[in-house]
Amino acid sequence: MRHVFSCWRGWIAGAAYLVLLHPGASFAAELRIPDFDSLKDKASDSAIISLDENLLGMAGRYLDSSKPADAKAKSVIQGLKSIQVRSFKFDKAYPVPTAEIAALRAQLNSPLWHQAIKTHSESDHSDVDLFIGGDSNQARGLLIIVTEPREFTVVCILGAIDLAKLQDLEGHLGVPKLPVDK
Amino acid sequence: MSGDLEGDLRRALRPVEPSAEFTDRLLARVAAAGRATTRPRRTWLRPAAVAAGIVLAFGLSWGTYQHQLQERAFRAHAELLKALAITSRSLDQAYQVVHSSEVDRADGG
Repeated sequence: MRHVFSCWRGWIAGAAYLVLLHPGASFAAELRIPDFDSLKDKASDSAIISLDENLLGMAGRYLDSSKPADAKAKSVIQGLKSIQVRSFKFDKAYPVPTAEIAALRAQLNSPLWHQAIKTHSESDHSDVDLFIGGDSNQARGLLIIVTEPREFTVVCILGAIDLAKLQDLEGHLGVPKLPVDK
Repeated sequence: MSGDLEGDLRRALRPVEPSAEFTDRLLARVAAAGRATTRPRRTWLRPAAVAAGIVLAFGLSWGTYQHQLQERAFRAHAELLKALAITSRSLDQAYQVVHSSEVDRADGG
């Protein structure tokens, strides 16, 4: 009886480790990507897309493997937990939602996330921030924030991301070759 | 003439007491007809109708569910392609920025 009890304690301790301490566990919970409601009314065109693992699976079933573009897309979404996109286009200058961006950034805790690219172009008045989550072996999250004078985009991809596969989309969905460190 | 006719009619339509045999036959027929109308009803008919209704409702619900599922899948498919296109565009912007800064560095060096 004592053995069973100690065995259960072991299981509980293991589960607690997985839930609370394991680095990958944090990626199981989705990042809270704001809907940027303040931009919706001002935008001339907007896309708010949230696809969880279930919907990705459903969508994947409609990808035709015989078509190269669909086959590549199918390959990319394998192992993904979610894709969230917030994209807004404007006819004129818009107020950058700094508070929501700050709230989003606050969720990207080190060492699980690190900023791979942070650029500011004075000439284009644009900012590009790219964060990669995970460890050195496997990217588990990708977050891109693009701020331009007439466009604002946030893309968040969670799951086992194969950057090489994303590169492989080049020429199919217009994805360029990324400088991937291997 | 008319008196004879009236008499004939009275005679023809006079009440006649039925014979006992006729009465017995009539009662036997009435009893038989009663048995026919009170024979056991088709007791399976109501449960069968209920079962058929349930099956029909389930079928309709399942069909509606499948239709909604298919619609959701189509929408998810379209959203996925759009999301990947936006992602690729965003990555492209990141790449352009990195690439241009590399070129600037190379030109400067």
